[in-house]
Amino acid sequence: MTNPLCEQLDLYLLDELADDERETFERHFTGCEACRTTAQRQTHLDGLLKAAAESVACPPGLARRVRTEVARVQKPSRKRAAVLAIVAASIVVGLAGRLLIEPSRRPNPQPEVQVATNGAVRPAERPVAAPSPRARVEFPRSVMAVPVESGDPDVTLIQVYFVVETSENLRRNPSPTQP
Amino acid sequence: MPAWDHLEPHLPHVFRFAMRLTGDVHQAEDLTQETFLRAWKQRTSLHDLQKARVWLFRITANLMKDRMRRSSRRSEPASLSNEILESITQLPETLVIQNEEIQQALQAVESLPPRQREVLHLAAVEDLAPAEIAEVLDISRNAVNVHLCEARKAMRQLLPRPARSVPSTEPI
Repeated sequence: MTNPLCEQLDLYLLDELADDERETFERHFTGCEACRTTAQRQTHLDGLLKAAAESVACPPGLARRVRTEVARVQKPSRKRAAVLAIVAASIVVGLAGRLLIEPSRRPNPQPEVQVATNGAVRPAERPVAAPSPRARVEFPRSVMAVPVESGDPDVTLIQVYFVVETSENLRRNPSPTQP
Repeated sequence: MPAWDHLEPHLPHVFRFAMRLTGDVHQAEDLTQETFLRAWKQRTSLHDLQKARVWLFRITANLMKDRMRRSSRRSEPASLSNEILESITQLPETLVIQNEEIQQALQAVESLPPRQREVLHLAAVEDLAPAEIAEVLDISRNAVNVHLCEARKAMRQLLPRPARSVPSTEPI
């Protein structure tokens, strides 16, 4: 390859020549035996590299391992999930308790002050408080409920812990209700 | 945004590229896994699914760059030839080629500078265009062309010209 145009062969094969350069090169290429042989050889070399690389198989199980790892980072951790579950359960139970208690606690509408027949103003009698309501909530054996101070006397928060019984525990303390 | 099914088909390609960068099966596996984890976390940044492979290769190259920066030395990747040759089982029937020829080609590749090897791999094996290779390696398109032309010329000089006529690599 003595012609300077032969130097453009690789750029031509890579389709990296500008339009005018390509036209000039193609005119050269048709008459240059060396460029045609080199182009054929380069195609063969590329084929060799491709065949060699494609014969390298992916290690067995790599795809599965990657999939598992991606799925693992996608989920929140067990500890975080447990904390979230407790918080969510606390909120639900707290709200439910409040809803159950509120209607029975509501006093009868009465004026705040009463005007006596003699015209004297005296404070309204304190309304008789309704009997303290009790909400009975039953939990299944699989959870442990712990009451927590909420700061509001009308509301009791209950933290719910999910009890996980290991097979060892089940062997030691078989549940009578379990089949 | 890509779903997992859009990314997973590229896994063997990412692994091969990782092999090219690290020269070691175990490191390549780690790098592949790391690539897909990062890709999954950043999947919202892939807007064109047609560019998924280039995008994944770029992540792989960046992670490799980080690794080398952390190890604060540009270690030469181990020779790839033996690993590849050991794993060669059966060559495609459409290619009339000899193992010896492949070995010579791989030895020639190993004698190239690392950047030329990477560029050559992406062009010859992955069929990426120079613009895509530039995107993967974060270098200019002109730099890719220079590296690629140098690598191809070196390969042609290093490999002995076959005595008989060169068989075509295209399926007949």
